[in-house]
Amino acid sequence: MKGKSALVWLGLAGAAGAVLFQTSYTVQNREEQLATLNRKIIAEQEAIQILKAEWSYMNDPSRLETLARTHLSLRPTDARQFVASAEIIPMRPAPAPLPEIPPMAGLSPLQTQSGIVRVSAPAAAPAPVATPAVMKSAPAAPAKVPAPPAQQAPAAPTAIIEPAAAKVAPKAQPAVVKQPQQPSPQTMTPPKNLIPASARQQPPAPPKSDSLGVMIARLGGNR
Amino acid sequence: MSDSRLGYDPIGAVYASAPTVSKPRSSLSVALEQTRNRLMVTAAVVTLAFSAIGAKLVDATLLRGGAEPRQIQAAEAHAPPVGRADIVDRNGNLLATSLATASLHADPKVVIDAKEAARKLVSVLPELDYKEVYDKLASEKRFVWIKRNLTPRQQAQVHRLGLPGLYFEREERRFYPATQLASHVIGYTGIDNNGLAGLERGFDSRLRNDPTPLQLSLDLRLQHILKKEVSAAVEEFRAVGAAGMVFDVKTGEVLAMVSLPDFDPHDPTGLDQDTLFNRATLGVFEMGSTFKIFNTAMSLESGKVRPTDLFDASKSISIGRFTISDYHNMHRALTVAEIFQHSSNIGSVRMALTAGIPTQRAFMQKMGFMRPSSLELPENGWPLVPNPWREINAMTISFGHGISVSPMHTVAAAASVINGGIMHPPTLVKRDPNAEIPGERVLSAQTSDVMRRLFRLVVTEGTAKGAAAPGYVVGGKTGTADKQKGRHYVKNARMSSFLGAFPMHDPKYIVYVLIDEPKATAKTYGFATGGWVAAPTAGRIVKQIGPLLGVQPVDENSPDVRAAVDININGTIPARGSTVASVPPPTR
Repeated sequence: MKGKSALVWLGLAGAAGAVLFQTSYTVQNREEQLATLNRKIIAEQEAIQILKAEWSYMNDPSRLETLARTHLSLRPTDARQFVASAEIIPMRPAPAPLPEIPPMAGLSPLQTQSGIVRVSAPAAAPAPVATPAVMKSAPAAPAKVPAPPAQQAPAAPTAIIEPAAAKVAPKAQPAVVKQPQQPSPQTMTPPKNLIPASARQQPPAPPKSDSLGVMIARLGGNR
Repeated sequence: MSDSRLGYDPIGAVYASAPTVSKPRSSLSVALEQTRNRLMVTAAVVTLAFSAIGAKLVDATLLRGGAEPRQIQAAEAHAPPVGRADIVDRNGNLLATSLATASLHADPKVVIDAKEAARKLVSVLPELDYKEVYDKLASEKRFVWIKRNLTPRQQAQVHRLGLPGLYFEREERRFYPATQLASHVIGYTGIDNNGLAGLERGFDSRLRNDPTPLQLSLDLRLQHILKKEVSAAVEEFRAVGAAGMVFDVKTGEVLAMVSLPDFDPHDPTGLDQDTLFNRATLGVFEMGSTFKIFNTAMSLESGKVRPTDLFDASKSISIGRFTISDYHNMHRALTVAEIFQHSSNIGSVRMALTAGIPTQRAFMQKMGFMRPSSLELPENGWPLVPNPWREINAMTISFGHGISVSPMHTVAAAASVINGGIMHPPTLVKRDPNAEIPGERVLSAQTSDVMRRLFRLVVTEGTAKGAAAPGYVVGGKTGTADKQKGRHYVKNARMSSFLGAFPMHDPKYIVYVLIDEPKATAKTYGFATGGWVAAPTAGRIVKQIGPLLGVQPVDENSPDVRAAVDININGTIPARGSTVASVPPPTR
């Protein structure tokens, strides 16, 4: 009897010891994992800090202005380009079959002068099959042929632009853009954008600069 | 206890057979009694000790979470990994941040072959000097710095050398993404990341102790435009320096502040004092005619001068060895409006004397010209104020000589003159939009209204026509002060400035431009005065920053605007609708 109970106790103590042993090793592993994670978190945080610094460095207004001047034809806004209220802006002469075109509220007078992409589109025409021309021009200037969110699935490229017609667009002839959706303000881009990518003069690609390298080189500037 | 089964319990045995009380106590029974008591005490103590241990065990294992304190704590997700807080502009763009880098140091005792180690180190860090590195590694010290702030690539290269005795230490390096754009305001830090100048020094303990970014009132975009235009003016007029400022008159926030020449805050060593000198806050100058803003406001506020009053400005005033004359003498009596418009020194002196010297002194004190401004920068100049304040001082101060204040003083005081009369202490830290803006009334609203009209008059018909920015209703006052070198004024060395504000019908912002020693060019017909040098620069700045600040351009000839900003040159304010409204606004 005595020997039996002693054995039971011994067995219990042994089991408890084994569990304790196991637990302590698990804990040790976990602690190591935690330490690794901590190191990783700190490394990531430092990387984020560096990226933030680089972002700001790349967004330095002086640099942005130089880039904008080289690659864009935009200029600072002049006071006369602002209008006090939307009523001053003349309404767009709406084509007769499309009475439901919403007025272009956010439009500046400059854009109305420089030419509107006239949209002649049956309000709910089925999407035409995409032509190769469309496939080429659509990714080049995505602003002018936005896929309508509602009809996105069946008709992603919804406009047919003949390259020949598009090229003369800036002169007089309005480009024919067939779109089965209501024109959005995005379609009001200057006619320049209608020129397909192949015909458009590509701005020289910006030189590949190692901004992080430059930044770090700056860091080393102080000894 | 009394169990005698085992047969060796003498206490029990003896006690069992012990006689009762009546029997005399033998020495044996006394000894037995004593032993028993001792055993009882021992047992009690042991029981107590063990129960205490048991209680502690229960407490330690069950009640206190059952574990020893953790050796590794989880890293905080939001705590920045660096010790010095960022500085950001009012829109959250980074102006200064700390990056972790590695610095290389060595323990020369552990370095085995100093020659070899130095040779290898110089091969991967070519900017180091072999001799210097060798001396360091061969020294008897236990710690020498080899190079601070290595780039990650350099660190990897040194690591690959596998030299014993070389160690890396994680350090922080201050980085300024906007480099030179706001160098005087932000300042710079030393190699150990302690602030040495600018806000880095002014907020040193704040940046060390509070990890949240310090948000300034500066706007990086305005800063860029201001610096671009002011540097263009410096270049055009071959000036030695310049200062510029954009100031919010309703809150007292400095939106942009530039002092030229500026420097790269990453490497501020070896620069001359002139470059490190902040002309906008530390520099105190005789402001010249811009001070007529305060002279006119003071005279009107004193109640002794009305805008329509005439003052004789035909003859120069002689006092002592000085002669006060006008740049353009009109040879007649001028109204207050004309004195401001033509910037007449003689008229200003007469106005100041009419108002009285004590009034003038008290007013200048109220404008904050007797003490450094409330700006947070350590570079905050003390004005040079005459003491005692004699008549001659009062006379020269009326046109901005004989008192030297910083551009910051001038701008903050001018803001109170046009914003309705409330003086807001200038600040470089963004104000909490919900908190009340501190301010005290220094001027009546009526005087402020007249001053706004006078500001506008200078741009429409006065000395600062070049500052006009159609649509933004600019007003302002030019200033040209001869520079004093030693005890004498120098001709052709001047400070040309323009203090402009817009839109004048509801002033929101001040644009201040000060050009130090501009040289006249053919384009300015040989003039280098404030109206020719600083005013056009300010006009260009207003044109560019107006849209960014959300100032709606207005038709400058619309009756509403004209009614708010017009003043006749005889000092009367035109009645609304009488002369102005009859002119139809030009159609575009």
